[in-house]
Amino acid sequence: MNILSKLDLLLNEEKGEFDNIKLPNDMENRLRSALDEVPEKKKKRLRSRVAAIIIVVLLLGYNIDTLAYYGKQLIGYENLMTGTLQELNEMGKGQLINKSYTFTDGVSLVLDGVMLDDNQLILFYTIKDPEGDVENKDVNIYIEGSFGRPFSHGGQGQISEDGTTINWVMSTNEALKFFEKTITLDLNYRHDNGDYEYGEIKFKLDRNQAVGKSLRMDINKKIDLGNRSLKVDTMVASPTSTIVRGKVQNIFELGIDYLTKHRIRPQEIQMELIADGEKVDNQASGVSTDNKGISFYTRFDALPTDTKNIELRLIKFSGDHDVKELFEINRDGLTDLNVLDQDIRINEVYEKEGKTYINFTTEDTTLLSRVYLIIDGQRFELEETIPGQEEKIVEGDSAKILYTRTMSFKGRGSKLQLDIQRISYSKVYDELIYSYRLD
Amino acid sequence: MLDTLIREGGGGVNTIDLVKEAKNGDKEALLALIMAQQVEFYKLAFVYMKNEDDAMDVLQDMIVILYESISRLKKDEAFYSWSKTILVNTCKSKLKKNKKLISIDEIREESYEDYSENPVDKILLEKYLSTLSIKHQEVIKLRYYLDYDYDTISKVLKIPLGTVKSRLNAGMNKLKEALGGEYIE
Repeated sequence: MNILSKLDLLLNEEKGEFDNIKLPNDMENRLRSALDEVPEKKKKRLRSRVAAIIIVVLLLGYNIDTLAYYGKQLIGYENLMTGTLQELNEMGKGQLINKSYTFTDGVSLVLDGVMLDDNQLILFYTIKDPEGDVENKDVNIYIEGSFGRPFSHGGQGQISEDGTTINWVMSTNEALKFFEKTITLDLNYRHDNGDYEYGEIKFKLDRNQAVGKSLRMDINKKIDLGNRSLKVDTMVASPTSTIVRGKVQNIFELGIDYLTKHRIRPQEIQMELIADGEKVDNQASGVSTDNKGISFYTRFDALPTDTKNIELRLIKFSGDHDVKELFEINRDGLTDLNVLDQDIRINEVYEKEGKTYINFTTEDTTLLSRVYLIIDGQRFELEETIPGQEEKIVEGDSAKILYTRTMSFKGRGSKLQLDIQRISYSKVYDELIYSYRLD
Repeated sequence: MLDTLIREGGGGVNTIDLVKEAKNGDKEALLALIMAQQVEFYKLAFVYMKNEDDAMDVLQDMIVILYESISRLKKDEAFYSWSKTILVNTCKSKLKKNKKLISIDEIREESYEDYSENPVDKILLEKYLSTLSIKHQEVIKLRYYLDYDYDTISKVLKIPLGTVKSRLNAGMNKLKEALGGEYIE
């Protein structure tokens, strides 16, 4: 099958879902209640004066990849940069661009400069509004490499006291290919009246001005996760950041998983990087699934310049696991289940108004991510989960939190079986993956 | 597609009357207008928001905006394309806000049907679509998922017909390239 027809097929399949979309049955009431809250007479909205300095953490590029950003303490424009970036900046590293685009109403975007290394491209730009309302100007940028290859990105911005400018430091989540020379910023500006205006800034990268060398470490370490393994492939320490990459499975394994219906979908892989005994800031992490399998990355701040010893530790792994098993439930009393080593205690089963309620307890990180109740052989969907209580249990020097909540199913009967399709949980490892001495 | 909808709904005396009543502040008239095309509105919101909760949130926001600004609608017969444009813009600003605030504590047990025959392909398609800029994504989704024709897309997104075509082309090319580059048959 060629690519086009495969793509058509995929798009068609997706269309099928839209054709069969189920409308929420309370749509009319919800819309009515929204209208009910609007006062009959129009009221002018008061906009509270926002503090002069705001720190904004922004994520762009739609989030199929799970991205987590940890904002840093920022005061003053220079502080948008990490210590390392600032040092590089003071040393005059990076490439000055100084190109701008002005929209019809005078709002403009100025690309001041960029920094490029083996891990990422960092953009430094300013959005200006002469009228002093820059915080409400809806300007988005999209970064495209050669042949329109899109980059997802994230960063931080800061608004000036008079509200006329906002400075952004934005990094791509991926490294650039060596042949990528021309970068395009697609600008997308939504005017107050809802109309969109588009602009573009193109610039050529000067590889000679890329910031310094990187250190690439091949780690190739496998970590056993029970029925699965995690492979940490590489760590690249560049002048602007340190990025660890690895895989959970390769496509071959993914294929087998798919056939055997026992897949695992990692949600978070938390790692810690320690340089000479000090933790390095964790800036971002992501997990993505594609035809090559499941890959992950974690981005840390750059290593301090005089670092001698580094250690990489795996702290926690959270994933969603296929279970696809039936569990009998005792109607009048406790049932203890153990699913993939996770304890699930069913405290109480009761019926009310034709529904069956199941009250149960697990660790707070354990979640029945797809579950049905089979009542006398008939399968019922989970209607809702009613939040309950958390309880902290201290065992020796480790503490865990137990979470009790109630699931409801629209049906009743005598024989109950819980059909657990998927379960997600976190496991704490706190294990040394890699240590290295730099000379 | 919207054209046919406009003809069906917009040409009739009923719709024009309802728009006039809505302009006079009649909330039920406005609600009736939306409910007459509830499937269309819901699908459009779902294309952008990808889940029922957010789709309903933006529809609620939309109806409030419609109520507050319908007096500024000049052509009564353009109600549906006007309101859908507002819906699209509401979705976009909501998405932008969501990105600033990603909450991880809202997860709870959920249950849903396995829609796709092949989740790996579905993940791939979503993944690659999601790397395109919103202007490319939206034309592809409106064209292929909702079956809108060029003219309708141009009216709802308020962009020229030529731009619709060029974005659709460019978007599909990027998507093909993305899939083709790594796609193993």
